Amino acid sequence: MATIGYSAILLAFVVSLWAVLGFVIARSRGYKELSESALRAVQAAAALVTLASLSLIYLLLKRDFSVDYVFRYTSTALPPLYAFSAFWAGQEGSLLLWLWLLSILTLLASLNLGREDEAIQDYALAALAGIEAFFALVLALVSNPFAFSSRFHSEGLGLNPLLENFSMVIHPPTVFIGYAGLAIPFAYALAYLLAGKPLEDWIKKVRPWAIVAWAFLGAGIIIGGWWAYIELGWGGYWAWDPVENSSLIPWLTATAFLHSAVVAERRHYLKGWSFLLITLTFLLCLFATFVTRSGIIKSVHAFAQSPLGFYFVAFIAIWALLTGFVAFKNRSSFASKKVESALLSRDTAFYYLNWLFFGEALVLLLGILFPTFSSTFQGQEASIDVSFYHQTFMPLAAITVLLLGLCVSLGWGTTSAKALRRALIPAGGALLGIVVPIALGERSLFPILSWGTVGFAAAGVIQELARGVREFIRKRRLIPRPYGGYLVHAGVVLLALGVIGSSFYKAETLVSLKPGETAEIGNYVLKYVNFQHQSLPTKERFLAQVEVYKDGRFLGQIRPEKNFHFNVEQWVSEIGLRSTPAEDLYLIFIDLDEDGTASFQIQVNPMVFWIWVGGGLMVLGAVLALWPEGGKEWKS
Amino acid sequence: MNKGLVIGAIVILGALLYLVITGLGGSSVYYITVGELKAKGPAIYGKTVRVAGKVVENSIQWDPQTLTLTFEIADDSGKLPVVYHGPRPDMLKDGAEAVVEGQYTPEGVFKVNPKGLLLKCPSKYQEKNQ
Repeated sequence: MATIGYSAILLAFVVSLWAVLGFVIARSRGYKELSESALRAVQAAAALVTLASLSLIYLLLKRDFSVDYVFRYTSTALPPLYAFSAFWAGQEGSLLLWLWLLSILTLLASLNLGREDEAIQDYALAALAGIEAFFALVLALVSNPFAFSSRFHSEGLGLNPLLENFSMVIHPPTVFIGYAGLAIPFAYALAYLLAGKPLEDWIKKVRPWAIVAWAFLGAGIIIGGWWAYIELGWGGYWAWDPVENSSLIPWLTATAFLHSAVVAERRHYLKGWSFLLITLTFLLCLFATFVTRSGIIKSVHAFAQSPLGFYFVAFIAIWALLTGFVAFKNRSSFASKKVESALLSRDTAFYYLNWLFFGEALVLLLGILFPTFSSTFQGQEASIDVSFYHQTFMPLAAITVLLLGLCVSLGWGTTSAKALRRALIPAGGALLGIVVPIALGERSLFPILSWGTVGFAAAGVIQELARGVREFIRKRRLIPRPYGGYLVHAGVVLLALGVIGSSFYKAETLVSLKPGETAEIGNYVLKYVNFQHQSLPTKERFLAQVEVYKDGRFLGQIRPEKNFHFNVEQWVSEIGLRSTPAEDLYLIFIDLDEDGTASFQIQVNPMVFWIWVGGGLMVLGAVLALWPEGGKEWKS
Repeated sequence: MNKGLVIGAIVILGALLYLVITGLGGSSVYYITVGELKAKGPAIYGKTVRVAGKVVENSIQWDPQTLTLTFEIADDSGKLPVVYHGPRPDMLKDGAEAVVEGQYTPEGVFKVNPKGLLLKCPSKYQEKNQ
């Protein structure tokens, strides 16, 4: 089976390469038959990669430990779901997953449901096949998931216990659908340029692809944050780790692209920006894959060093040069229509938005590369801590959120005095956001500014939604597309609320309790009843029973765990959590003494709940934005 | 493109540059080796630095009452005793790769900042494969 899988990858490389050559020659010489043959090669590549992936799944489920990858990430005792998800537990499988998803999406694109011009189809598929060929080559040469073990193993090493969590089953594929999906708008961007077709049509064509990919990437990031919160047991959801940041970077540039594309489609400028942003997004998706899976960047959850880095850097450079060349040759396509736009207009706001997202992406990228830069140029490795991101990323993010609150008050091209008066509502929201916390006793500058910012944006979003509802009542017709955008914006506001609440008002304490003793935090009283011990085949399990009381009322029991996993010979904690919209009670079981004394870290994390709700709303908004026939002009 | 827009972009970029430079100045922390740390002596007391090393065998001591963790880390240039106050991380064990961020004290002990203890699993998979 492993031989079948490996052969399928080799063949997939050959047919993908054939597809690239076929399309390119067909275009330059005008052989129609060749283009058809290349199209079949694209389909064959999808079939071959699927075969390889199914082989790997079969080997994983069968626990065939003669295959090194299966040996490293599964064991006999591992439940089938986790054995299946071990597909993307390591570098080799993750890269295969990338290729698999890309080949399926490419197949979808090759069906040409949009009745696309032949030239465009050929160029776009050539680009996609080129990306496929790269991944197939890497899998065949440096990162082969089907490599055999050097020795005989009767048992596998098993999955890292931290990955035995349902969110880790779905997080990597979700992110990878985003990465692979964002390759499609990029491939079509090149195709429209090469075919000399207007970029406005490109945007209409790729908008659904970009939105779906963007939503998947965003959902994946949120799920990753949720996993960190539930499984890593430090009470946070975002550590500004290079691996986390690297997935956020293309999401930010993709978000900028989606906004920029609106302007390009309707106002016929920012076309160059849109093209640049989608190119960057694609390259940054490659970069993110490389950061996560190569270990070149110092990170707590990156993988071991490998020669993979060279391939990725070379590939990114090739695409950057190629795209730059194509863009330069066809630079006339970026020409803007002459439009007047006042300084206070939606157009200008979108333009600045591009810069803001671009700046945020740049800051994160700098943070990732800084240790590498400093060791190369200063001879001494330095790293930056979280405060760097607080000082650079957060102000930019705050301005972005402010702009969100203003967008409804700004008109396209110019803003009438009447429209501008609408800005009074967000301004009122900001005032409320500042006054209320002060009245409640808040005296620090940053929380007050943050509440003011979010108050501004929240009022703006409510204003947007209210206008939508009024419009609906007047016209008696639902236009889902703009509502999608509003929902996404509402999601952003809720997410921001969660971030502010949990960043500024977190309470935590460390306690050591004997059975029967209690500890207090905020309005909560926690009683440590006792612990239980179970011996399981894969681990020794210790459960602490903790009763939770609030204002004297019994709320229930939570049971944080501390387990010794045999496969990694290590303790892993499972947190106890009681989540409500107002706050989460978060309990980490740190240590257990022989006499039953247990130490706990207790946290009260306010409003974390809203981060997940906001994230969910953003995905829902993206679904609505996809609604067909929704593209009616939204008059301001 | 409107002149106002370009000026605005320059302002944004300028602000960004300012943020990045001040940010880097304030939050970059240098990695130094145990040997370098000891050689610098009093000059480095109280300055925040990062030291990476392996957790020395049988050096971990944990006091659950005061939640104080003491252990030693070692690199090629020597051993360094460290003290940390906070929850005992699951990944802390003999041979684990640790990165500590904190200050060296005149007592010769490295005081780790709150949340300044980073651990990486000793790469068991790699070792067993070799």
